[in-house]
Amino acid sequence: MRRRQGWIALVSLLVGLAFGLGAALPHRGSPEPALTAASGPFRLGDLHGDVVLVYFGFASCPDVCPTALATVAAALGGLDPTELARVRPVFVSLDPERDTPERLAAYTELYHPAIVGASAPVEDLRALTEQFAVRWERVPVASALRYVIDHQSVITVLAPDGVAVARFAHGAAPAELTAAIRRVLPPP
Amino acid sequence: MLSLVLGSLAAHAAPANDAITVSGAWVRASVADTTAVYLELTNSDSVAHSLVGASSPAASTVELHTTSSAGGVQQMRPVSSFRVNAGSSLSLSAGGRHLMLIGLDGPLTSGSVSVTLEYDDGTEETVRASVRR
Repeated sequence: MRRRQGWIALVSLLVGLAFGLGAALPHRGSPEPALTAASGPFRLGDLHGDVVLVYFGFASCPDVCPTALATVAAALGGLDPTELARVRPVFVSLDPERDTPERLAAYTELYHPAIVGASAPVEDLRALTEQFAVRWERVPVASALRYVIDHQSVITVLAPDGVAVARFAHGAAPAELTAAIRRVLPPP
Repeated sequence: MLSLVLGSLAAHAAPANDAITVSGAWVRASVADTTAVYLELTNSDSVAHSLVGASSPAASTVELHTTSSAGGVQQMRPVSSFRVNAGSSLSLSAGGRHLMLIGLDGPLTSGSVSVTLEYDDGTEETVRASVRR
């Protein structure tokens, strides 16, 4: 009984990994949503050539997102300056109603100066999160917040060619994320 | 004159709570409009007590929230109380229960905040939560 459960768990993990790693940046030129950072608009495709980290969250999130961003910050802390210069961590807000690019810049700055906070309209968020296989939902709650954003807390690592090579669930160890980044860093 | 004022203030405050001990209170540094306070509640009484509310001069509202994971999706929901059983402890910690400060009156990057905890028996306790990055 236990052995079969072990096999089921292993197969589920592999299937989950295979599904999760399907995300890839479209090649330059194909339609891709424009994201807006405090410094201006950009597309994830513009970061082609560097290692990109993508996390979807929202600034009013007091517990899950800070934990994930602290993980990203700790992982970046494990890189030397030459390595860090080739990594582009992006925090995409699932809450464009409340999260302006300026607000996101202040939010991400608290965790690590390299993290870029970006917003996009809801329709574009739907396409982007589908591409990254990140489930989320805006849920009204009986709270001064009015609504919360349920979301999968996932850090996706994209290699310089834009293909997703690793996906870290909530609670992942920063050292594992650092190792995943190192595995795909372009040669100096 | 000052002691007169303080005396009258004390007379209007809710009774202090003797049954519950609060320890390890900390608050996440934040430059957004919300943040989380974590702490441990230990109930030395022979009956259960519940935390039913909280307030803080650092925020316009404090609510009791819990984070849970449903099929990999992180969900945060307000709850009406945190129950601490007789002779037990309850931990408010990252990834689970927390007090959510909503409407912060300014960036919270150092120092500490005062939080007043309200219990179901009408008692209160004010603690200081240290800011942690």
